[in-house]
Amino acid sequence: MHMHKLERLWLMIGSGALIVFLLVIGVNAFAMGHTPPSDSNILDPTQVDLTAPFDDPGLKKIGDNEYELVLVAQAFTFQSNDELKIPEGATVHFKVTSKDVVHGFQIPKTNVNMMITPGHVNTITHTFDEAGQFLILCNEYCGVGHQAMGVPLEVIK
Amino acid sequence: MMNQMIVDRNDAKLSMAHLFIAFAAVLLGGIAGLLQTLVRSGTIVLPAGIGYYQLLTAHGILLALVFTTYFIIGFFYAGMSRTMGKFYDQPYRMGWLGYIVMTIGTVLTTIMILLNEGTVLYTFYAPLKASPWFYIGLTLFIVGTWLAGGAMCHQYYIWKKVSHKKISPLFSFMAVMTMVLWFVATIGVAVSVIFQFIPWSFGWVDEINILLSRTLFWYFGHPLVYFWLLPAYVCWYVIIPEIIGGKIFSDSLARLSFVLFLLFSIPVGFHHQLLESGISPFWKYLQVVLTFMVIVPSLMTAFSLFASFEIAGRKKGAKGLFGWFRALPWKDARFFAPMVGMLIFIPAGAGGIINASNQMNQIVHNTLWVTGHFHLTVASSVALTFFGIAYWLIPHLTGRVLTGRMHQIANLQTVLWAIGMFFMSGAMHTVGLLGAPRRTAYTTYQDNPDALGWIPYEVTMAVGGSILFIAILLLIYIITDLAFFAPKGKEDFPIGEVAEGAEKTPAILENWRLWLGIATVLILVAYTVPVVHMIEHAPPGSPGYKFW
Amino acid sequence: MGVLEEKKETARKIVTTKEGPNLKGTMIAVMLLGGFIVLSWFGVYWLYIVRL
Repeated sequence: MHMHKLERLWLMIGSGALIVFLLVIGVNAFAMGHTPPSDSNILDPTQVDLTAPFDDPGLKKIGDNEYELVLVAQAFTFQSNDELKIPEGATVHFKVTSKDVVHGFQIPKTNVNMMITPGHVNTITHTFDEAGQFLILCNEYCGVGHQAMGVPLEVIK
Repeated sequence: MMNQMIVDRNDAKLSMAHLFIAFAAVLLGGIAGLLQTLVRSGTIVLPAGIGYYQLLTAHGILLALVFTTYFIIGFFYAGMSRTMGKFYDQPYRMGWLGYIVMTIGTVLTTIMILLNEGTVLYTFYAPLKASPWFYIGLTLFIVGTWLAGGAMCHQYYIWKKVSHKKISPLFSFMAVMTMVLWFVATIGVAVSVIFQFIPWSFGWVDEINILLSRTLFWYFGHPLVYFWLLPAYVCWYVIIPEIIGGKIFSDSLARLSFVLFLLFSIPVGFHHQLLESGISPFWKYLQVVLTFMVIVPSLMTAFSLFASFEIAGRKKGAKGLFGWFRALPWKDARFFAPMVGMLIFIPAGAGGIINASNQMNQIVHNTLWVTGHFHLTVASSVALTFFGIAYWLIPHLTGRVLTGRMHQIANLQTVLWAIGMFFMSGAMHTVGLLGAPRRTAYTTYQDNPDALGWIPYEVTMAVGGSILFIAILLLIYIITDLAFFAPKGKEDFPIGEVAEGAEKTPAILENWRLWLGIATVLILVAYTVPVVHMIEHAPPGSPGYKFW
Repeated sequence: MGVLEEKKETARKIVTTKEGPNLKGTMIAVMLLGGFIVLSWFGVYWLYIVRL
């Protein structure tokens, strides 16, 4: 099919830019381990309270300044048996599921953002380099109290 | 000679019937939108009984589904009648039947929302469970659009048989292509609603497979945005060249871009599910790559449009590199509104590429950035183009004219829209990057400092929303005037002609079996393995919840 | 400029006019558009990297 030579040039440049974008995110995702949260673990969404580790949600120290934070999302809060306080520089593995409807899990100012679908576990890891107040919030509509669904997370010196 | 052609009177009635509902939906949806921005910024509290999320559901359904779909179908009936001639009896009757079925569905769904039985937003994610009649209303709506698409395909089929032509008029080809895209896309949501939601909401089955329902929804959800966009592209490719006194840059490339949209706009739904469990990173990335393929026809479109502007301008004697840009008919409302829409599509498209960029989605997913994004795409690029079409289409269909004074008022409407959207969408994009969630009522999360920092942006959104609402009132004034009060006369239905010397359109572009075949293969490649996995490795399903 | 080169020059000019209309302005316009896309994309990518 005939194409103006400048259009052909433009499409080459444009597609070239798209390929660069794909390579950048592809390498970052697969070679540097930053694929988006895609946990494949499943559980019975009606038996969350009886299923480990969600039968005892909370903060567990698993290494040198490394923690696992297990949370149960439910309308309209994130359930934990421990206070959400972690030391500066800590790496936290968030492990979350939902007891009822679909929820979101997001911490503003970080890349922590994932969907929590009932029956599925989702996980994401973040290192908190600086002390301060953080907020875990639900970013998927889950009912009339959705806007109240947020809990503070404190990173202390 | 072509420009003397007018739409048949009966076809005009069918088209107008759709346009009336479309603009009524704009008014109602606009009121809901205004109230939402006022609530979210903490400016007002809704009077007892009305919920924020109820308004949000109404806003989404009325504007993203009702306004767009009715307008698109009405526009296509008129354009097909204009380029292929009067609708034959059978497709004509099917068109009215589709209208009735769609409207019953719309009314039923609207009643359920008003009764607060369907406050599940227009994405109706399970396991939030609405009344079965909410889902039945949506089903009827979709079935109605199938009848409309069937009417158009039937008309096209008869026309081809009678005329013995291999190549149909560009407008009609694009209309049929858009409806074919719609058929393939709606299969997903129809399967989900009929086999999952309706039996579950009636209580015939206890549980629903959440991930499957979301995947079927987004199989539909992304081509849905192309179903909104393609009719705007029809205007940009076919109608705008005629209005600016130019020619269609290339008939074949225009068709090719529509073929590419059919192929690549469907197997890409995972880019809405990038942050979800149960789908492996490989399949997500594969669909991200396919998503990037669908950007190419838009790059082609950008070039074609600028080229038809430049050629038209140079023919009129415009000098220099950009003299042609100034030579465009900026005072012509039929041009100005769609042109502002096209320009807004530049940041809109850039935002879209960011959204689809795999892990970068973690920055923007479910934040107000996304809301800002689709208020640029569908609520500006598409909406302004549709308004620009209505300015000549409605008087053409009702035997009236768009007067000089009305051109000015319409241009004011466009300017107000652009200003309002600059504030609203700009604030949404910015505060989204700061982390403010979308689809959330007024909140400070117990005076959390981050959340308190979002409030100035939310106030800016309300300012923008208020300007937009004034623009909507102005729009309704213009539409009412054009439909009932404007001076009697003859308004052109502009259809561009192809530039001389452009090559003959290859017949392969109209080979439906070939393109549908390739589209099917791509869909199967992108979806078979992950969907089989989500059925075989499904957790126990979820019961329904009514948390509103 | 030699005769031969002059001939080449005119030949090239004919070829360019045959290539179609003058679309330099279009090319610059789409390149500006492309530049905007690239800048905003890397802007958000930078944000992603900073927030890792």
